[in-house]
Amino acid sequence: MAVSVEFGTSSSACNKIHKATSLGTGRNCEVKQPCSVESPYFIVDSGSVSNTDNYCHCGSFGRYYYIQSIDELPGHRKGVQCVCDPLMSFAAEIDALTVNVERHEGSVESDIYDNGVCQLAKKEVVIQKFSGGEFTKAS
Amino acid sequence: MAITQVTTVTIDGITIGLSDTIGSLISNGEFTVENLTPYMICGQLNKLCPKYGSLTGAERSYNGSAGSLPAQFPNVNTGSAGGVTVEFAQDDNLALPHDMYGRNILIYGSLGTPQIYAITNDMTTSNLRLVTSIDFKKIYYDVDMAGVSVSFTKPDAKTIINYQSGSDGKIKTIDNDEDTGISVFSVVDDGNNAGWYCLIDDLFPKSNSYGVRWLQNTPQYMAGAYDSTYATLNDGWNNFTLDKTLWRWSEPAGYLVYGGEGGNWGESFVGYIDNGNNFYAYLNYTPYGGTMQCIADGLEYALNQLANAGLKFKWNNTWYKPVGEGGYITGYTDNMSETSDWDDIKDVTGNTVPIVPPGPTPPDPGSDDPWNGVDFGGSSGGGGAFAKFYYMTSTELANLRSWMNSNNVPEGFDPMAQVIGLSQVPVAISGSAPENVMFVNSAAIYSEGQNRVVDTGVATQRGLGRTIVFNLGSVEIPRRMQQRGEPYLDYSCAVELYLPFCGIFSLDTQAVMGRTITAQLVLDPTSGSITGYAWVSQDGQKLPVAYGSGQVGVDLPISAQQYGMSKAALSQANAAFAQSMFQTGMSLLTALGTKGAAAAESAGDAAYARGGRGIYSNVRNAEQGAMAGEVGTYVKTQASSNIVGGFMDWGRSLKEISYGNNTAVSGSFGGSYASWSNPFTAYVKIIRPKVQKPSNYNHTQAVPCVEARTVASCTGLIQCIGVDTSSISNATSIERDAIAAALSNGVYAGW
Repeated sequence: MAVSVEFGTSSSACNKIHKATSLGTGRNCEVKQPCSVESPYFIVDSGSVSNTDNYCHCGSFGRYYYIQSIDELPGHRKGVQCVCDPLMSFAAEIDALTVNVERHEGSVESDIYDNGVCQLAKKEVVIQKFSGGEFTKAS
Repeated sequence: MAITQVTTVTIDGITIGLSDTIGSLISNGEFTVENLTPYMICGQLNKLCPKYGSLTGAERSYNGSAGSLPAQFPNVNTGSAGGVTVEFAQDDNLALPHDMYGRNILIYGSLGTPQIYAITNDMTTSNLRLVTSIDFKKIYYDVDMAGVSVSFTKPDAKTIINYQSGSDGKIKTIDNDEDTGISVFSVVDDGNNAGWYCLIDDLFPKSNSYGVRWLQNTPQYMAGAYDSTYATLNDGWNNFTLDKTLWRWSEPAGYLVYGGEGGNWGESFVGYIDNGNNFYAYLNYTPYGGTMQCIADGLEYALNQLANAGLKFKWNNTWYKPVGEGGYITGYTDNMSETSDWDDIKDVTGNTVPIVPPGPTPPDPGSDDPWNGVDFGGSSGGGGAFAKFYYMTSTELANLRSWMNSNNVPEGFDPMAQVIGLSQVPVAISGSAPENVMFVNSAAIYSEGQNRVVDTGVATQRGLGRTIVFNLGSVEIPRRMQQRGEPYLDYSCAVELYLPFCGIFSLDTQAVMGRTITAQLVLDPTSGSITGYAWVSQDGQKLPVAYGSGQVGVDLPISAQQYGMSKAALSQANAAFAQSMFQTGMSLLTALGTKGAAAAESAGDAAYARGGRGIYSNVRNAEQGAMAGEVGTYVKTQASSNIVGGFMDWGRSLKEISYGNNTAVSGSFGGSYASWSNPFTAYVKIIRPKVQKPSNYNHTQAVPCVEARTVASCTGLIQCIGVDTSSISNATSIERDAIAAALSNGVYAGW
């Protein structure tokens, strides 16, 4: 089975939905059988993939993949073990999800208690006098 | 905080050296500018001067001679020494100095009305916070002078300000006096010390034919103790010594100069007075001859510049107070309608608490009150009065003592026998208009021709009413943790309230946080007890948050015999009054017969001394058992209004009274003077958490929220619960689970 795969790199964190990628043009690959769309093994010409590549996209499978390993194969070929990146692969569908968000970087701090914040043992003590000043002493 | 010398300052990643100007940075393309929406216009003078708002153009200008101001400014005092005095005092609600938060203000000059803009949100560094705006020209000079390393970041890299309205949309150079300038305020706060400076410099172009409102040479510097070197670092900068607790400043020699076209000038001197508690600034405007323009605008500057620094100002006997929203000043109050902002405003200014301040008054007891109708130190001074108390000064008490020890005392009459008690309170109280202390010579009842009433001739004040209310003012419990980015921790604060003589109360943080606590003390002059209570206002209702009582009065000895007996008699008298007199109406008097009624009446006329606090004086039957029908009437005299200073004198007076009479004096003190050594000022103690957060906390940990929203509407890190991925139909179950797990563990949304 032959498919077209674009190899390249991604510098985004793995837990980022929309990843920044730098992918090349599509390369014809053989797919090692049996094949799982979640973790395919692509066999390509040596020049089609760089050893520094860490990301790829397979339009036929409709998925983006992390490159887990690159094997040198006989006949100037390379075997690329991939694992699906479901966040990027289904980014549009994820974006459309309505979810219950319990923490959000873009939210404004509210009265919801944040257990993650470290509180110091020493607290701030402020004395605030009443505006009336000293309780009127006789003069 | 260690202060180190620096030669550059970094603004939003752009390093500015000592020779750089904003103008050069603009021209180099390092800054771009956009218009900002003004959130406050310096046009508040139309509130101060009602006619001002209706004036336009030349009407706002002034062509006149020295010593006078135009008629269109009717409220301006135009004395020969100049004109306008504006007092400033610390605005407690703004809680300076450490929490001047987020009021980033830039005053800029243009051809139109000067305006104040918000520049940024809070600008923070590791240990300094710049909470107002910055003179972009001066900042690195200041930083260099102060040797304080300052770096701040604008929230929007594209936004600085466009003060050249309608022009090229860029900030012009401000590197010389001939160019339009920017003037700013800045506060630095390292968490322990606060420095504040207000710089007024080159607001307007000198040469502009319209922009004659030029403020010059008014650099005012207020700094914390750590930067005392400021004064020597720049000629013309006046150093202020700031006590972060009391806000004390030394007196500067700053002044404002308003330039008039054609070289005519007016000057306005800014003086500062520190009375130890409040800070006042006086602006005296002295117009010179010739053309004076935009006087009002000039005053606006003075007002706003100081008020923006957290000082409310008083003008023509009215206090104006900054009104803020979201940490920004949005205007000023100009009437009493915003009661929450104006509670006790008068009390703040002069350390003078009115004797009968505004606030709740004791309810009318109505006809069911057994004491209702009793002239208990009432106004008539006779008739139904069975007991009275007097508020005597030490001098008046001494006068009474002199009378008691004089030949003016009728033969056979023992005035000390008339006195029930004497006590002292350390607070100023006042009663009726002066009237003479009167005693009853009961023996005269049986002697024809003798006057039953003995006039001592000692004028003093008689106590009125049953309670005396002292308004302690108010204090705001601000949501500081909210301002610091941790709103939820406001409710982890502990709030304690101290009321003089009543003790310390732990308040319900939920009830008081973000609200203003108002407190009163109510003194019962008959017993010397005091009741304190505090409340917060919500929806027009007063919600009590603390209630307590204590003893402020100290009973002083008159004579052991009299004191003990009169106390006992007083109790009996109270009971008798409650049970007999006012349940059976006047039947008691009727039952007494002519003699008894007359005696009772004369007892009511009896007057007794007033001293440090009350004297329980009595009608003689209280101690002698005579005139049984008089039912233990008593009088309690009250403290004078001059106690503290005259306390010892008063004590001597008492002693002289005692030994100057033929009545043995050996009684004991009641109450405790020790309690007088407690603080006389009500305060709250707020204990707030301190937090330590990495600078990238929000990015790596996100902020708690509870929201149902699409992932696409989120930005940055999100963590979700209960993710339903069934709608992702083209993913395998393993992938769906992986997506759900990722959303639960945290993913970065957005592009």
